[in-house]
This record gives sequence, structure tokens and C-alpha cells, in this order.
Amino acid sequence: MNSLPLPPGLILILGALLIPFLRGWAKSAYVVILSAVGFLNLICLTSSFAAGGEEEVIRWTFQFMDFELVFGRIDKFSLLFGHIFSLLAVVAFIFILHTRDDLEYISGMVYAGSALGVVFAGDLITLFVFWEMLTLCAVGCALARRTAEARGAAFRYLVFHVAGGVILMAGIVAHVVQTGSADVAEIGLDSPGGWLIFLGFGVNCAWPLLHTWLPDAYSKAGIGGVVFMATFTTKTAVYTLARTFPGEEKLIWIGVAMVILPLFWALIENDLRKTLAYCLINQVGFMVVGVGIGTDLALNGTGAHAYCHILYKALLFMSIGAVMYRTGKSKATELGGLFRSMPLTCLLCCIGAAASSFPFFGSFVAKSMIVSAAAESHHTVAWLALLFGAAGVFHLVGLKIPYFAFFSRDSGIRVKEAPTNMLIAMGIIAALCFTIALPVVDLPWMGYRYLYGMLPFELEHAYEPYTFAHINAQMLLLTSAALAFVLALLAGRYPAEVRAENLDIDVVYRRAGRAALRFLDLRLNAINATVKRMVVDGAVAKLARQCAAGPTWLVAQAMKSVWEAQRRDAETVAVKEADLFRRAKEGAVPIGGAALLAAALLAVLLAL
Amino acid sequence: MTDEEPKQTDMPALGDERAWVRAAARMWSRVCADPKRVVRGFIYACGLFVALDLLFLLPGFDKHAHYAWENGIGFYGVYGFVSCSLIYFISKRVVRPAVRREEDSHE
Repeated sequence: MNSLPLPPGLILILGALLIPFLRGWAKSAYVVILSAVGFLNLICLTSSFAAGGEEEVIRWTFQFMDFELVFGRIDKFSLLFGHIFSLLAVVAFIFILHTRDDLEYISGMVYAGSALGVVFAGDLITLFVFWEMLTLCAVGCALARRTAEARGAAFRYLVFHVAGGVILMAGIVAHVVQTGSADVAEIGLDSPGGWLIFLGFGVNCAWPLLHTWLPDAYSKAGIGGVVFMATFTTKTAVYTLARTFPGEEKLIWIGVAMVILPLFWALIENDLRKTLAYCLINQVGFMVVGVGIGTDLALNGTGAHAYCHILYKALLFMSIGAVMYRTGKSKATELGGLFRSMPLTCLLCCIGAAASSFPFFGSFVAKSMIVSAAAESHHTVAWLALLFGAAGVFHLVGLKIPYFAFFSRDSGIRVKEAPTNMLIAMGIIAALCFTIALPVVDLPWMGYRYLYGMLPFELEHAYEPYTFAHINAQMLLLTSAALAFVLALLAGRYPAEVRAENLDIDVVYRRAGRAALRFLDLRLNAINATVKRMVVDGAVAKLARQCAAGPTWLVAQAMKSVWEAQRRDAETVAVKEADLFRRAKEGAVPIGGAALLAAALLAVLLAL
Repeated sequence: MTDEEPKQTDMPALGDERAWVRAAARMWSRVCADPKRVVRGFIYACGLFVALDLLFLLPGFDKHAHYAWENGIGFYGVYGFVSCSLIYFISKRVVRPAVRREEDSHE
């Protein structure tokens, strides 16, 4: 372990600094090699940790004021998340090998590094710094698409997450002041600081009412950027919740809402990437329920499901991304029949869809642990909700996405198959989705026992996913869901795909924002106008006029006495006075007269 | 399938991507021409898994169920079907009328 030079995250973050200085293929090769080095470093770290035989190892610590910053809290839980984050970074860079876009490459690389930074952070201060870097990198990934709608989504994402970051920071400060400890450990909800930290993590976890940034940004980001976003942000939030609030019962109900509500929006959504985004919230809901249950089985299930979900969701986002890359479209009303032009992408998408639920794919061996944990801990409502979510998400991810993108009616679009690098990236993930769940073999990345071996807790009774009862129940659930889908389609009961904008709770924020803007416009600008009228146009202007006319008035008063001494009549005096004011305004006072006046004034002043 | 086109039933060579696409297109056009076949297929599949569920009535087979209703024959099938039907109904009749707006209405 001592031979490791740098924390896993810093390798990627520091390495990203070189990206802008490279050109062409060197740039593409560099990002893949750098992410691969990060992954190999993590494999070495895992091996060293396993060889050490300790439960937890603390590495890379620095003293900062009164706090010890910990960049390497290494245990099985952090290694599990670090493992999948590093692996996904390599595959995602293969997927976007052809773009050579500095913004996307740097954002993606630092994003991966920051996610690893959060995962291995041993204190809340380090965690917070990497947490905020995640936000900036996600904004970079969204902006990399370089469209007006992506800029809008990036801005809204930034507003949401900066607000969440401020709440988190306030919570950390309150927690540290109260307890004197900044360790990433169980916090609990018995203090204001705990509540603020809970809420701060909830923003990134896309809790109900705080979730709108997710479908908004994920449907408008670049095709590579969305893979990074779908992998890192919500999963780091799940990880931090599992570290700090395991067994918090409120999370079960938050998770249940996340499992159920997004399905209704996902079904009527025309944009397939938005459908995937809503389904992502549904699956993160499973993980949040797992954290809320908090038993060893539930937390193992959370970790395993995060691992498998990252794989198959990335595959689905990549396959729709490949379709977008070739056709420029991602809406169900504009696609269809693409299996003729993009058969391999279609096949890989179908594998991703199957991996969401089917036996012999990742999710089957992972998600079922959370469902079993809910039943074992007698959370009946949560258990029913999870089954409801499992059937619903199979229908949406497993059937709707491939059907409307690649089958359905023939849209007439004829394009080339996805580029080779995209197919390779998708192929790697498709293989992993399958091999990670194999029931018999037990090799690296082969067989579910390899996955279970990475999980954080040793179970008293080993969980066995491949039982006849479990496989049959799952197949019954899936075939009946598929039957409902087909019957609804044929009977015309299925909600037709239509071009429309479906409002979400963000309509409240948007309307509240516009109302606030109108209020500020009417009220503050009215105050502004009044002040301008009274001060700028009124008092200041009057003072300026007085300052300008004052000396002339003094001269006029002095000259009046002279003119009256000369016995001029009142009319002549008035004419001369007016002439004096005119000349003063035009600067047309005779030089001799002005000099005489100045001399007279000086004499008066000297005399005084 | 007619006698005039016997080769269409042959399995394409593994590396022949175009032949696979043609085979898939033929299969898809058959599905579209007679979609009830798909429905029948799924009904048979459901029937098969319900039949397998009946095995748990035999001694020696145990579902290790946590809840009594899990032991009901075809419980998961009914639950999956009802769940999806409920999602269609609520999405179509409740959510869509409430949230649907013109495209790009936010912008």
C-alpha cells in the first residue's frame, strides 16, 4: 500500500490538466490511457487492501488548521464504488474517443476524479470540496453540447446544486461546531446540522421535489456527458447517505416515492433520454430504500445495485446517444425502425434493457437483495412499492426504450451503424452486465460471487439469487408486465407518444422565479424610479443648476446696485439682468468685464 | 412461409450482419401483420410460469416466502400485470391531462 503515490481521484484530476495541450489522436489516446491508469491504480489498491487483511485503512492525510483531512479512507464499501467509477470512466472515454472536445474530456476526467475523491474522503471537509467539484464538472458536461437548451439546463443545474452545496456546507459547519468531529461517519437527524447535511445530500440524490434538475439536464447534455452524469452524481449521493444515515427510516419513504412517482412521467415522456432519466430516479429510489432499511443485506444490496445499475444505465444512455449521434434525434415520435440501420446498437440496447431485470443479468442478482431486505425487515409497503417499481421499470426501460427507438413504426431514417469506438464501449458494458451475474463461474468480473465478494458486509446467511422460486417469480413478473404492454398497445390503451412538454414540479420553481422577477421589477424598480425622480432629477439637478447660476446671480445683484445708481429704469435693469444671465450661460461675458469682476471679488475677499 | 422461399428460414451465418438484419425485418413484418401471435406467445409464457408455480404445491418445493400472499399461485404475474395497467391508467388519465403542454413551452 505504501508504494501507491497518489489518491485515485488525484491521478485523474491532475492528469486532466494536460488534456488541452494535446492534439488529434494523442488527445484521444491520452484520456483512455489516463483513465485506464486510474483504474489499474484502483485494482492495485484493492489488492493491497485485501492483502493487508484490515477492515479499514486510512491513507493520505493532511493537517488543515485543527482538522485532519483524509483523502484515503479505504474499506470494502469505498473500494466497491471506486471500482465501478474507475471502470466506467475508461469505457465512457472509449465511447467519446472521436469527439476530442477539451471541455467534455476535462469535465469528464475531473468528474471521475472528484467522484473518487468523495468516495475515499474520510472527513466532511474533503468530501465537500470534491462534492462541489462534481457540480462544476457536471455543468461542463452539459455545456459541452453547445446548444442554447443545454446552456439553460446547465444554468438550472448549477443553481440547484450550488443551493444544495450551500445547505450542505451550513450543515457541515453546524455539525463540526456541535460535535467537534468532521469524520464521515453516522450523523443522524437529532441536530440541525444533521438535517442540513441530509438535505444537502438529498439534492444530489434527486429526492422528490428536488429531482427536476436530473431529467432536465440529462436530456439536454452531450451524448458522452450524460454517461458521466448518470454514473457519478446520484451514486456518490447514495454512497454518502449510506455512510452517514444508514438505517434512517425517513429514507425508506423518500425512496418509495422515488420508486413510484417517476414512472408516471417516464411513461408519457416523448424524449427517450428523459424517460431514461426518470427511470434512473426510480432505480436510485431502490438504493435509497436500501440505505433506509440499513441492514447488512440492504446495504450490500444498495452497493451491488449501484454497481449493476451504473453498468446497464450507461449502456442504455450510450445506445440512445449513438442513435442521437447518427440521427440527431432522441424522441419516440421521430424514431422507429432503426434496427435495420443500426442492428448492433439495437442488440446492445436490448442487452441493456434485459440487464435491468432479467435473470442472468446484473440487476437480477443485485436489486433482489434490497427487495428481500425489505421483506425480511417487515417493511411491507416498501416491499410492495419495490415490486411495483420493478415491474414498471422493466416495462419502461426493458420494453419502451428499445421498442420506440428501434422497432415501432418505420421512421424511414436510414443511417450508418454507430462508430466502432462506440460499439466497443457498449460491447464492453454489455459483456459486463452479463458476466457479472453468471451463476456458476467465479472469476474476476465473471459470476455474481465476484460481485458479492466486493460487498461491504459479511452476511450470516449468504444471499442466493439463483433459486427456482426467485427465477420463476421474476419471470412471471416480467412476462406479465410485457403482456400488459402488448395488450395496451394493441387495444390502443397505451398512452400515445406525442410531441409535448410535460410539466414537472419545476414548473413551480420556474413560475415562482418569474413571479419573483416580476415582483422585483415592479417593486424595486419603482423605488429606483422614485429615487431617480427625487434625487437625481430633483435635488441633484437643482443643486447643479444653483451651482451653475449662483455666481451669475451674485454678479447680477452687485450690478443691479450699480445700474440703480446709474438711475436706469426698472425695465432696462431687467433687460440687462437677463442679458447678463444669457452671457454667463453662453460663456460670452467680455474678458475685461470678467477680469474686472474677479478683481473686485478678490478685493472684497481681501478686505474681509 | 411459402415453398418458393425456403432459404428465408435458414439461419444466417454468424458474421453476415445484413442477412441477420433481413431476417429480423422479415420477422418484424410478420409480427406487425399478425400481432395477436405475440399476445398468444406472452399468454403461453405466463401460463408456463404459472404452471411452474404450481410445483410449489408439491412437497419438497418451498418458496421461502416472507408473506402469505407470495404463496398464491401466480401472485407475481397478477401483481406485475396490475402494476403496469395501473401505471398506464394513471399516466394517461391523471398525469398527462394535468401536465401536458405545447412542446418547448418552457422556453
